[in-house]
Amino acid sequence: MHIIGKTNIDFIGKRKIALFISSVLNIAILVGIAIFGFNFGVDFAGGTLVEIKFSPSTTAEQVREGAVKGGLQEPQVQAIGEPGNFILRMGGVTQLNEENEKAAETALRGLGDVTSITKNLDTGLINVRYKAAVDPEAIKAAVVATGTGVTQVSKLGEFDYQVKAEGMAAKVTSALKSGLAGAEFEVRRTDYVGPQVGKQLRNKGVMALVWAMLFILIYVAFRFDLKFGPGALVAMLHDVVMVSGYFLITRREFNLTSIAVLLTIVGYSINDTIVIYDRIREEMVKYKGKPLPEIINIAINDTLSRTILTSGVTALSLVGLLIFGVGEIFDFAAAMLLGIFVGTYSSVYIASPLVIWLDDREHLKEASSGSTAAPKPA
Amino acid sequence: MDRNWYTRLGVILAVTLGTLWMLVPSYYSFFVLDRADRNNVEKLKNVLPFWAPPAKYRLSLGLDLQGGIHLVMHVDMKTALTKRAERRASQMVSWVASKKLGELENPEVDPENNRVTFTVKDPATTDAIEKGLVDTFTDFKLKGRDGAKISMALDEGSLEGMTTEALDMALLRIRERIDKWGVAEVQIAKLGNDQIQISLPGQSDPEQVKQLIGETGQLEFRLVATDSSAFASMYTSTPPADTTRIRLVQSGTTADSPPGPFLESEDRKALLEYVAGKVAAPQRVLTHCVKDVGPKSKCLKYQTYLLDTQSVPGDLLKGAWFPGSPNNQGQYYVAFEMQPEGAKQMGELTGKNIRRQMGIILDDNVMSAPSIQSEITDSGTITFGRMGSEAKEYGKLLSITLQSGALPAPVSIGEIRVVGASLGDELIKKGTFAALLGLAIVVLFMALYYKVSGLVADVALVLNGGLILAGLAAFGATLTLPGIAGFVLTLGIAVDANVLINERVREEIAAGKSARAAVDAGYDRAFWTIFDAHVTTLIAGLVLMFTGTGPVRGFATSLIIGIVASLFTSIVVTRLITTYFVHGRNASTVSV
Repeated sequence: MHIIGKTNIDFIGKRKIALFISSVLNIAILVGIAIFGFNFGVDFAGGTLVEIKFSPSTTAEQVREGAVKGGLQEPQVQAIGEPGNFILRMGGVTQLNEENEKAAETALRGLGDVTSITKNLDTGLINVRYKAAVDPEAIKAAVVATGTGVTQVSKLGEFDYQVKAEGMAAKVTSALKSGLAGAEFEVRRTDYVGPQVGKQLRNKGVMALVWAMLFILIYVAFRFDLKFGPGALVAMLHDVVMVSGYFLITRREFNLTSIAVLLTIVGYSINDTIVIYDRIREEMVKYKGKPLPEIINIAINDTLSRTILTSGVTALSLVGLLIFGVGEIFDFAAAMLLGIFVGTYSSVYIASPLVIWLDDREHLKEASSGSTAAPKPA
Repeated sequence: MDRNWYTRLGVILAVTLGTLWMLVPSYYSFFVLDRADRNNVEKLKNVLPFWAPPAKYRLSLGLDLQGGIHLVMHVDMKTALTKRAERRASQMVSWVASKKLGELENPEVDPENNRVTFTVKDPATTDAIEKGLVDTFTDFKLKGRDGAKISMALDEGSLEGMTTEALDMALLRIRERIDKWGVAEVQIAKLGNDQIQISLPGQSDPEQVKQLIGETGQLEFRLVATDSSAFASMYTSTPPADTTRIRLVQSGTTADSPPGPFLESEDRKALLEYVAGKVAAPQRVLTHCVKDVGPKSKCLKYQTYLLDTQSVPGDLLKGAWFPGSPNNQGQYYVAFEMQPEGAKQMGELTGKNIRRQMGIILDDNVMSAPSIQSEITDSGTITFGRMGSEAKEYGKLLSITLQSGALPAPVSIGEIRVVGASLGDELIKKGTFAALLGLAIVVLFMALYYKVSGLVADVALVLNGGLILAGLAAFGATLTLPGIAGFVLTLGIAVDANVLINERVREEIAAGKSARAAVDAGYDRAFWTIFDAHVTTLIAGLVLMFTGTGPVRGFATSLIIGIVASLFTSIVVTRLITTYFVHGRNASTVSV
């Protein structure tokens, strides 16, 4: 059985159009990211995510109203998977926020002479130092009265106390119970990430991408000619940007799993590029003297059947995940699928033409510097 | 068929059998044990046949698939460092007074940069004080002088040391809490320089966990009762249900053992339940954990201490340190200092009770119980009989324990991920089904498209799947949901290698080569392409492994194992079978 027989398509001839379209798309996505940004998940933005299953089912709007009525601040509610399954996201991490911190401070100052007071909204901690001893229970009661839940008041020194505000997630169950009277639900998953941790995770994720590309580039430079390196790099960047576009346009959550997708795409993209490069290298030896664009065209056409089959088969293996995956795993499969297609495209239209371009420049340089190289036949 | 072929066949058969063998404990844990016992290593050991690999080589499920809590605790390093700087500042003030250099006033610590500022009372003495401080307090650097004001700040090295110390302290406290709680299979690890990561499989109530871990435990000194015969009499009058589980020991064998008789058990909860109500108030029974030597320092068994009422709270400590070298009698020791109020209480407690044991209790655990040699007021030392590296480890632990009473390192929760057990079950069902569906589609496609060669590739693919699972089991890695995604993707990549080979063989046949030559050329030419392609994906996987956390790492683990397995199955295994067809049976055509 054959899907594709022998082909003779002029890929290289269309490289300018392809490069143009790709550049426009890439720039558009990058501008889009700069303007709209990603819809960062709690992994990166910090915040609280709770997955809840209601039985009997209800609507997202009702859940949202109930949550607000119960005292949650600006929850985002999203239906996911089976009916009755919802994800609630809240930006606030602890119950100490801009609105109630002032009230909490005033309450604390009311308890005695305060030497110093520092508040950290990121971690929900208030450090307070009095001039004389104060009952920790009184401190707790005073802060709770201002609307901020308190997990604990600890004594740090002689007259030093630390107030630990309660997390947002702690409030979800009680808020939903009071806001949606009579509703039966089960909390299936809670993700809570502090903003500092979130920032760290994001930096680490970006660093992982940069390191991976760097190491792969070193490997390519080592295994192939230096001329091939930049093409492979640009193709990788192209694919990463295009797949980021998926998260930008669909507004799906960009989180740790998305970074994993991007890294896999990097691996896949280079994989595909290398198969074609390998063939170009082989045919450069076989057809010595032929102009490079022609050789590349032959190489791409010869490997076309393989290229399409491979992408197809890898895509097929994702079908199960696409059908049965919910939430993160669906996004993983969908973004991977897109990545496989752009990865295949970029190997043909981005990585290979760049080799020609670099080769042309090399010849131009040789010619202009009047090198001793043998004159090339026109 | 040359000898080489048979050697390869032997290797492949060995690998296949090894794979199946390696999967035996996983098979038993998933299909023979009840769901509730899935993580119970003891039960697994009992059902495993004698020839199976040890029970620890089983595929365990990640928290996302079996339900559980993953949390990251954040140590409030800023507060911890400020507290330490404040302590040093007060030591500077008393040092200057004791050396009669003059008097320092208004010690202030800026919490932003931990800079300590003093005002010198008599400006004439400023030079001498400055010199004295700089020479004595070498962990500080002079930052500036403005008239009679001296400001000093912690230098980089000691800042780092204090950070590590504060993190160790927080780790110790969390570990004590969890040990006490007795959750099986907890993983606790440092993360960066101000975080601690904890995994609690099977737990589902984050509020309960937060309460247990989040609240800081108390340190105290409490007298050990001189007569613990209560343990012996309760053991004879109402013996425990299982006397092998709770044992009566007449006298201990190590320096830390409670004064005999005492009770001993591997199960803290059972031990405490047994003694509950059997000791007359106000005496209390607390446990001491006998630790395993080594980095994990798990509790091997628990021993009971009977404690009297007289005590001194640990927050009256001023500080403690371990010099790391023996005193002039050749004994290692930990020195500590008390605050004025603490010195008074300590003096009362120790003065009347010389020769008795004083328990150092952190969070209801008796960490150590040295005997009182003489009255202790504002400072004292604890000597211990251990030698060498054991003494160093013990001294460090003891000083950290004491320090944690004097200097808190407050912790807050930085990250919590909770997965309910029902969601976990659903995910594993769906995940497995999705993976199997993907596999089935690929297998079917290969067989239809490449016929016999496709079937050969399918055999390799199934073996590859087995190898990934066996590899995860052998490395003791856990299978997570992203791990399943990585598994599926790797199968796709493994098939890619066979597509490359088969396409190449087709080309060679189209070029007019014989079946034999075409197969040989196909494999040889495709090898380096496949190799390069695998190595690059492997690089991405390794980077993910080393930089990633949690879910990403699970993905990377199965990707890496899968890539290595794929090199073997899609090149060596398929070539062996194909060679058998074209060489062994001398087929003139090859079915691709």
